[in-house]
Amino acid sequence: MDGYLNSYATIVNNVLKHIAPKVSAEEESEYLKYMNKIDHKEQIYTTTGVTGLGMGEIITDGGIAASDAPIQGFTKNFTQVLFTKKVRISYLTNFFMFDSPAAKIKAEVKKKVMDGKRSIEQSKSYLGQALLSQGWGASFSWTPLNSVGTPTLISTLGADNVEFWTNAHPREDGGASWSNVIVDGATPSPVFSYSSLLAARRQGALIPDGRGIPVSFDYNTLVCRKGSNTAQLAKTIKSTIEKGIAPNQVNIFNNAPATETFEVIELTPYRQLGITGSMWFLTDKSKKTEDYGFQYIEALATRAEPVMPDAIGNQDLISNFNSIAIMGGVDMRSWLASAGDGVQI
Amino acid sequence: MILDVHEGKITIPLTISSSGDNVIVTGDNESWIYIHEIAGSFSGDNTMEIKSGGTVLANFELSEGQGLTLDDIPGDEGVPRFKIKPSDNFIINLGNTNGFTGSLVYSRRF
Repeated sequence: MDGYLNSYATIVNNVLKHIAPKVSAEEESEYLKYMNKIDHKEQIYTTTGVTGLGMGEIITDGGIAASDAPIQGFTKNFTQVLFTKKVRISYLTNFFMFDSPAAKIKAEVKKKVMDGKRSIEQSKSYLGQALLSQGWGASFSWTPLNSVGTPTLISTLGADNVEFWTNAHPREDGGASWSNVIVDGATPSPVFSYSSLLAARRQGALIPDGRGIPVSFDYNTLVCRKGSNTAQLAKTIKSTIEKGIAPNQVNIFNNAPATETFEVIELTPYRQLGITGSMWFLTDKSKKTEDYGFQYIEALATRAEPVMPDAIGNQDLISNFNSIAIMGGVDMRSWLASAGDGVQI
Repeated sequence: MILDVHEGKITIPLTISSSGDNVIVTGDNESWIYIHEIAGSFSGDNTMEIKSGGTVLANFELSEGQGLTLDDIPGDEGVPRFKIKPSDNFIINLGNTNGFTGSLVYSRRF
């Protein structure tokens, strides 16, 4: 839209009417459900891992123990970027739509349709989902859902310099690599089911720390798309487990469930770069900290800048909304992922 | 107990007689295709391959008039007989032009 009066002919004409805002429902910052927030006022935030010691040993009487020490782990730098939303409306548009005593759009509706802060929150939520859905690659090009804006290259490498979701995560001590891509039997990235939930938890139990000792995380939270068959089945399985019944039994004897229950986080179905209905992720919610998983780093919370006339002198009114922040993953041991397509490794 | 969920089941007639690959249900990158039932018979001896895109999931060799009925596994609610991956077409490959006539029941899983 160009913000000029001829684009709003029906709204500003003298016919009595109800103006109905077509705006999605307000929602909290969805990305903070699964990302750790860090307030950091410098442009670059750096995080570096360090391992613990390896296991102890047994030596003979008079023997000399091997020397050990912590190992410096992987480093990641986050460079904060500018999230912005610019609104331009002409002087006449502003007067007849909003300011005139006969203006058709009242304050409550104006607040909804001119809410730049909401625009920025939506872009952050969409970017957060894109990190999940594109995490099988090294980077991707991000544009807003309505394509108003230039593409931005986004990295999907963790601190270990490989994709978020891969079977080749390196270990800090140089030992065997580990995987956080869910495989059920011979099927990588299976659809969510009771069987694949069991497979994921078996797999999660194998993930090692930097010295090869199992991290023993509790993958207690499922992340999936709202309204998907995945989300629907997850609720059935969750409720069945919580009743103390195994979801897969077919006879009259009530077997106990083979695994623990889980929370479900459902994400907005943006589509395009958002997660698909078949994708699903398991995470240990207690590890939503600075040390593991996804980070949301913020220097400036969303701020509405003062409204000002256009610099070129035509009296158009410009509103800018800005936030300085960045998102990314550090150590992805606390996450397991399935693309839900039976293919992606 | 429900082991999987999917959208409503769709029944379509199955009438194919071209040798080689026949696309029966077009793939969709947002959904799996779940094949719940294939039923029918051949007008003459033939072979049949069930395929998910380029991947063969099953092979059958059938005589003229021999009926074929493939169903979901009893007791595994919602779990289909065949799963066709997102973006793959559901394909039935015939060895020759002896036609297969019957019905197909499928659904999509998002």
